[in-house]
Amino acid sequence: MKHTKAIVMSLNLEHVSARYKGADRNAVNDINLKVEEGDVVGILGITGSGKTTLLRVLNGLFPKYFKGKLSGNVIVDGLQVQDHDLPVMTQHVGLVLPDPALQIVSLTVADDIAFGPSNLGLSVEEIEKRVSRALEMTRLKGFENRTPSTLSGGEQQSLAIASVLAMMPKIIAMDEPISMLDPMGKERVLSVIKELNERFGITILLTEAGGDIEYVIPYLNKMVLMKRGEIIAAGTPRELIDKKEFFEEAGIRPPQVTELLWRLGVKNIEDMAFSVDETQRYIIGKLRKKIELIGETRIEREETPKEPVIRIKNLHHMYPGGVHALRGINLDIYDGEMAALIGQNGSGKTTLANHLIGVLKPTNPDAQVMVNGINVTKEPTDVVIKHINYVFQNPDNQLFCETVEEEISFGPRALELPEEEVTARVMDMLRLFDIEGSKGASIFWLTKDLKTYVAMASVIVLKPKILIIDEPTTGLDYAAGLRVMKILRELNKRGHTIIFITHNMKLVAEYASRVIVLREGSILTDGHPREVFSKPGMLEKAFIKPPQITQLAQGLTNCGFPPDVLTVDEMYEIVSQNFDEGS
Amino acid sequence: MVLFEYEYRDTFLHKMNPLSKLIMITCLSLLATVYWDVRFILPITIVSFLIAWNAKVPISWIKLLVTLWVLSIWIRLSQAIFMAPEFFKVLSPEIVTKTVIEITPEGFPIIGHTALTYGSLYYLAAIISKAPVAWTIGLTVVYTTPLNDILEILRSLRVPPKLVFIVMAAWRFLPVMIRNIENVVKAQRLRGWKVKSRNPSKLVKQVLPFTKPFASQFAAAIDTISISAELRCFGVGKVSSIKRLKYSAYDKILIIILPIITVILWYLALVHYIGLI
Repeated sequence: MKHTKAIVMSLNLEHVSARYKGADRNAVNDINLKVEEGDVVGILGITGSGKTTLLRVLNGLFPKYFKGKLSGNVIVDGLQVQDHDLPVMTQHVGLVLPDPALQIVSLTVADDIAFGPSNLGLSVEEIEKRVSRALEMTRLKGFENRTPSTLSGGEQQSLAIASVLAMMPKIIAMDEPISMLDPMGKERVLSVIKELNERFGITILLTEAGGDIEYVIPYLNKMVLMKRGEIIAAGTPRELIDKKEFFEEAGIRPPQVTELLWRLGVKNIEDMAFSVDETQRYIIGKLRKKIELIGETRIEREETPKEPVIRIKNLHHMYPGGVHALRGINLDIYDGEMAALIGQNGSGKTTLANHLIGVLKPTNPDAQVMVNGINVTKEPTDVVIKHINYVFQNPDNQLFCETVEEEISFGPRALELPEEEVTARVMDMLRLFDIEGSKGASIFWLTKDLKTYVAMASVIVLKPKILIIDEPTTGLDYAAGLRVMKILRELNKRGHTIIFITHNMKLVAEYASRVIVLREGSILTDGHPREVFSKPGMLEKAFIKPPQITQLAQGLTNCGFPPDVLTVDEMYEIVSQNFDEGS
Repeated sequence: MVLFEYEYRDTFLHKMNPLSKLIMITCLSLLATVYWDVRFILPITIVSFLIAWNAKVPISWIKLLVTLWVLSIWIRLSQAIFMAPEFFKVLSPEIVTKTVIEITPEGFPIIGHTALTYGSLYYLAAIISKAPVAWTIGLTVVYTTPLNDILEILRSLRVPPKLVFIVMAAWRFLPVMIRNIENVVKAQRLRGWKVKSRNPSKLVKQVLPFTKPFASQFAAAIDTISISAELRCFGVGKVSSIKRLKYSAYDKILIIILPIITVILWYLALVHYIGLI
């Protein structure tokens, strides 16, 4: 007799709507969703699509903590959520927030894991048992007595997961758990998630705004696409892989290989893929003949090299306490370059950028940091910012005025420029960022993308020759990120030298004219993205992987593909010319 | 290493139970407070230095301590000059008021006659020798005791869990907040901000570029921390101890003996003036 395993539901949402107090529309609207025990579900949608609210509904955080009106049926692990208090629900569904640094409340790893169980009044023996289990499940054994601030981003997020696991939930919901991590951190957290699901049978829900879709999709067995609070498509990744229209409607850019297959017009769903390996197999099967593109020089070089606008010689920086953050950096950056500064967290990127703007001084006397002809180590800030400036990753670091217009005009007014000049510059920025309609808008109520534009505009308005931007697209959805990068390219065309710090290799490949890879305070490699991404072995030392499309080309070098393909457009051009008829 | 932060070392003090350490610091501080006779204070001062030495307290901490101690001598000197004769319980009024060096003559405007007396010198010697005791022992406890152990003691002493959480969260997020303030200051300076007027009313307006972004970040951080604590049932009911603190034989002896000795010595000092001047 054949035995069939009974399907156990972890979640059952029926006609669920949620509206925050004072809001004019539902944050989630008429949601119907069933999740089986042991599923790994990815909820994909851009900022404002309702992903976070959906997670808040699952344990009653909405409307018990975040006030508002909830309607419909929410059944989690067999319990009607509305009938139970938050402390009961947190033992059935745990919630992990995006920023690991702020959700760790205790002073050591073990104590943070024990925090939840101790609040339940459990015995010391039970607490110790739960701590030990959570440490093992998240591969944090040996870290018990470490201070959270000494952990890497990935380890911190693993600790946040461990702290939730100590409450013994059967379901863990994670709100963009890898969005704030470097590539190594992302890999660590996702492998922990995989283990939790496969070894311990925990049901996982995670949200994703699209920036890390390539990392996330291989781990999912169910996908939900959301837009403006509604589910527009749901199914297994295989079921949704050819639904280009839904991805477009949700504003989510698919993995690069999937985009390539869509463009190639692949019809058979069995041929569609999210991963490099599958795509590689498909392309090999369809190639007409071996192509011969290896060795072609594809880097456009300047005929006459320009003057360096930044010259750094033998730059060292030692923080108090002995951390040697920069170890003898020698670097020239040329006029008109759009350079990407990449590397793991702690590799020295921000320390280097802080030297360029004169905020940090070298700790060795023979170091030289010349920017646009001035020695930034000796000049005051108001002189330095006429040559070079810096846009912080978090726009909340700088916004304080009442309106957008006031915010952008703050810098020029602080420099006591004539009022006509201030007005002209502000208007130019409003036009450049296409935010003329928001010039009187209150800063407080701006969306994340608008805040990012205003923060950038309020620095660019000072017209520095060189602009450094830290993680320009973090926290933005694909469309907003694209807009930011187009503006940077426009500024670059206007004659500004741009340096951007990022973990997003797709951005580097598509927009940078040069990549500088830092590792442990030294420059590991430096060159055109084609050169740098052609050395995956070298990049591995900095725990960096080339973009997915470059990895695909590198896996096809035996078929004659060049190893330095950077964009989907380039790959499409190569593949489409060499594909079998009728494919 | 950050100044004034716990660091693990393999010393007797590091292994000691935090409660016995707290009792030790309290007892030694109480004794140093009550005694004014240098012959009684100096052994306590020496013991406190020996404890710090045994705990391998970093030399940079001691240097800072010595600097503060030297600077404080000048403040103590001014206190000593104005010390009233009634302060002295054992020494005769004739001795304590006997002038060593006259500083201002009779009828001097505002402060009148002041002089360095034998009483001032006794007081100065006592205060200079007792000043480092609390600091040295305090730093030793900080260096040898993780804050979470101190929190555990507070929990076991039935301090309200919400108060313990506030101490813990403040300690945990202080570096994060300092880093945020640094970033806000950096961001505004790079937009051309600088102090243009020292007029207090204008200064308030000028610091707005710092206070607003910092306040909004602070509020957002508090919100996240609260959610995180809420998700882990904070404030729901009875909070249990996270771990059982271990007491060695030495700890038990110290916890019993030290308070008894301190009470006896305090009684002798306050009632029979033993160790006073």
